[in-house]
Amino acid sequence: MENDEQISKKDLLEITNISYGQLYRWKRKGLIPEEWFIRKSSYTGQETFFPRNRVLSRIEKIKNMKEDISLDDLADVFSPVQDELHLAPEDVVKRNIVSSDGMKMYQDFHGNTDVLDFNAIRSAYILNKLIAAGDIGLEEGKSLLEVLQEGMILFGGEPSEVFLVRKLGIFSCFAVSPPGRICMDKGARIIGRINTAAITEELKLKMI
Amino acid sequence: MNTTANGDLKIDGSGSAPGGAYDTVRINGAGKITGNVICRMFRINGSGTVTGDLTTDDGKINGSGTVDGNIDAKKCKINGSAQIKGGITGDSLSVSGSVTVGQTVDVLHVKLEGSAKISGDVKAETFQSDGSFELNGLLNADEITVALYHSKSKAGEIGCGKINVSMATTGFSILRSIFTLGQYNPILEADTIEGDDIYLENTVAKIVRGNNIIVGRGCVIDLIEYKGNYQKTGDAKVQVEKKI
Repeated sequence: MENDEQISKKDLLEITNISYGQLYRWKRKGLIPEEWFIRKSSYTGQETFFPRNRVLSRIEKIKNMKEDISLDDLADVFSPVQDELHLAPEDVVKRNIVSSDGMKMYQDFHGNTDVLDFNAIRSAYILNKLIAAGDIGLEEGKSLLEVLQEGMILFGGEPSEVFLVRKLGIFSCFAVSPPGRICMDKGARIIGRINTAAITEELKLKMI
Repeated sequence: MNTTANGDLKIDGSGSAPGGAYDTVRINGAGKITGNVICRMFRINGSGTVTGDLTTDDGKINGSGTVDGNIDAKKCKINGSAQIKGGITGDSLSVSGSVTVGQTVDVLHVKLEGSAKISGDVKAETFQSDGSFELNGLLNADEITVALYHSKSKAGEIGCGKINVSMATTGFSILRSIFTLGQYNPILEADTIEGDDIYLENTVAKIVRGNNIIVGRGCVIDLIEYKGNYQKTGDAKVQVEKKI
């Protein structure tokens, strides 16, 4: 889950072709989190390193999006803080975040509510996505929703990963809070992994 | 002390008042406000203390002021001296005189005339200093302009789009240098300076990295790494120069 490989600031600028000014601007705006700036001493003094995979994918995203979105909006997308956003179920459907069938399924499990908070929208979004892709069936969606909800309570806002497993056709799922490793019985097959932080980003982008 | 119906707080002479939400807060003389203050306009003429956080649209300290907590101000102006034990956030900060900040400064536009001592990092779009500053952390700003007078300025690290460090053109005379003899040390000291366009005078740094770099008179730099243009003028001393 965590990749320990690191990249120096100099190599990062070289590979991504961005300038110091851009890097510092993105740092100021919170687009690149403070924790990713890892300082190490070297023979020339201090050098800064970054978690390689995460920073490269983040910069790729910033470069692809910055044309049409302001940096401040972008900062919200990457913020791990859950949005204060609430939407009515109809609006979630209207904005094409969840299909109307998907929303109906979600409401069958959770009852009818007037407003959905960000976590609820995210759960509905994940459910909709997996069912639409044919990865899981209706009843299986129900246990997934339960795991998502339990995970939310257990891990709070921390990023986590949800594993979907099938063994002899029987579905199961569980959530893991990284860093963590798992080991499974040979007959079981992982049919999907959901990274909640990535989903959150994806969803926020749709909601801007 | 007089609290009017429309929620103004005024201390004339000397006195103290509780914090709270007000429209205008004015201390003329010596005053102390206990707790947090939220107001549209905040003025100290004389000396004043806020023992909590100060949140205001328009804050001005003429004389001396102490804030034990943080300041969040759209506009904050200090004429005289101020001691802020917390941090400062907002849109503009302008200091004529001296200021001490215990934590970080995160303000869009920072303008310092005089001296400033900041314990945390500074984040700004524009940072301008006429005088001297001392900050231990990172100075991160899009555009940095530093005019050096007679005493040393210092930053742990500097990261920016553009930086211009130069000797002040006014305010220098032989008379003055005699008066400040022994203390006359107009340099900027930093561990590393990184930016797109860098112009430096009288700067002492271990590492300077950037796209376009010009080092002028009085610079002493251990290592320069540049990508675009590099120019050394005057009596600048550079140990190692590397094109990346």
